[in-house]
Amino acid sequence: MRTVTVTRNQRALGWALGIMALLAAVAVTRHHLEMMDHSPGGHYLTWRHAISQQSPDYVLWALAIPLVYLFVDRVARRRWGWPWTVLAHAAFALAVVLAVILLRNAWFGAKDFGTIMMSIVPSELFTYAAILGGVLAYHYSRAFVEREVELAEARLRALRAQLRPHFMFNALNSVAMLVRSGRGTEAVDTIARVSDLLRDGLVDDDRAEVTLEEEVALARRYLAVEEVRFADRLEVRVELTEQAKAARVPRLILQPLVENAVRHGISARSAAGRVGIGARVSGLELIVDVSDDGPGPAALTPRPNGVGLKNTRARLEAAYGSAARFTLEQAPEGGAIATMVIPLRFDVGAQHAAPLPTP
Amino acid sequence: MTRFRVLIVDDEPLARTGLSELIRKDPDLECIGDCADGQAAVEAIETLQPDLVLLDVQMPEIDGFGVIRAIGPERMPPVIFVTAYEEFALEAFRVHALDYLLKPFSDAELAAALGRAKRLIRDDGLQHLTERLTELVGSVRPESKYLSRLTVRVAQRVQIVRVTEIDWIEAADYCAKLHVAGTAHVVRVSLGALERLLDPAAFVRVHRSAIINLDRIREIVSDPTGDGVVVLADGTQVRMARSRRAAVERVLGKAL
Repeated sequence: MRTVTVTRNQRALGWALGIMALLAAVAVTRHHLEMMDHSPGGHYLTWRHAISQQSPDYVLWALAIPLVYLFVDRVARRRWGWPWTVLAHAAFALAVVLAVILLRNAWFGAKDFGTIMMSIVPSELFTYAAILGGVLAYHYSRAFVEREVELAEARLRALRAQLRPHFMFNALNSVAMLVRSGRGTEAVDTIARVSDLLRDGLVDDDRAEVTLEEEVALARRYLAVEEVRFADRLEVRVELTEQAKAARVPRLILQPLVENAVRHGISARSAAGRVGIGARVSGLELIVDVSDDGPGPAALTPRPNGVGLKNTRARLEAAYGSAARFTLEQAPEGGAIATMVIPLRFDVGAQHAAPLPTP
Repeated sequence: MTRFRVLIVDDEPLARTGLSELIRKDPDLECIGDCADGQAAVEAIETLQPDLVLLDVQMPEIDGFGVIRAIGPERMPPVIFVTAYEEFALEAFRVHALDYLLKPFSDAELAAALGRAKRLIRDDGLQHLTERLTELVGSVRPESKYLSRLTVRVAQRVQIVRVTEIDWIEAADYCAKLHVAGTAHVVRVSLGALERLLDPAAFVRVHRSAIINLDRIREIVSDPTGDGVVVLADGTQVRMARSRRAAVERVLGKAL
């Protein structure tokens, strides 16, 4: 994922530099021709002169583009309110413009302070604004694409987890064993649960967010199949407050956490275990945790800190920036507890106004 | 001909009941028990000496290979491995020509595997089996999981003992006596098997009849003959054999 971002940035930078070089070439040519026109006395401007007159501007601005991009990216991740964002942008714009002017003065020789302030700064601010516009457009289109990619990847991962040979064969074996024991009704129930799960993975659902209630229902279908397999060894506990149920969460965000809890809390030890899903609202944040009462991350070496759940982190980061937090810790009463804190949102949003399928 | 005594080892309850159901249908076979984890499997194999073991590969803590390692390939009864999906294991079974069943399996597939096992036992092909099992446990990478707790029976109750709570372990006939904070619990696992189930970085065998928890060692007194005495934190003195000296030095990381 990281390398993809880097190459994509490099390509964008290449384009920016290319466009700037083209603009510089056009400006240099125009300047050269203009000077020929306006100098009937045979005062020809050499190409060398034309280049030295015009290109430094474009080179300087071209070099500023990656800086502007980095700045936009950082500010977007911080998610300050709009007054701070605007203030930060204004300060940065002024700093870049002054830096460009200073560097150009070093090349051409200084103009007097009045000229700089009255005419050069405003005109360069226009150039800056044009660049900023391009950078912002690029940044937001990229963020949008990234979010789409993350969602598509999450869907694929969830489907893969449901189709994971170990899970599938064990589920089918549960069915076979139920049939052999003459427990036909339970066998059919299990088939229905596995089918539900497959449908969840295969259904063509493009929503990036669902309500927590839907998300928990999906995780429960996964757990239901595991419950048949582990019988008395797996206990599932779900505690959601009414307010939390209606909150929006990224789709398929819980599945890997629940899977992790089953893997480390139940299948890795012979004693009975519990997997818990809890959610509550605190201020303007939704807090969701998935816990198990297994040995917990402290018992594992090397001790994990949720790095293994880097996909979860990446998805939260793509959706909420630094406004979301994710931790995997040793629970006070033993076992592991994965906690995610995300901004509380209830609105469905125009693009996702499709009616929710009832699971 | 007496019936073959079969032991079922699987961590999933449904798989155990389903298998025992099928075993019961075969007049040649008798299901003598089922085990839900590695420790129980080692106990049952050592005490019941089954003729055939249906062994689940993937189990918590001590997996199917761990069971064979603990028992020792030479004392392991004929085994049919049962697994849902374990690529490396399947490869190993094929290479070493060991029988396995893939979950879910049909009645016919199980019957065929049982038939092959019966022939193997009747034709006395066990020597050959030992060799293949030895190669198998040598070839699969150790999953590096050791027992973290043991279950012991105290009267009618089942009690859990964390291995970190054990001070030392004493051999008692074919069983082992766990000394835990002044009380002793007997588990029906041989000391040799127990040694292979425990983390060698935490427990060391100091004598044919004793394993000690490294954390409990207070001092080691050795005499000129090379034998010695390990004094534990609670004052217990455990004899250390000359022959075990090198092993103790290795885990302690220093010469005695």
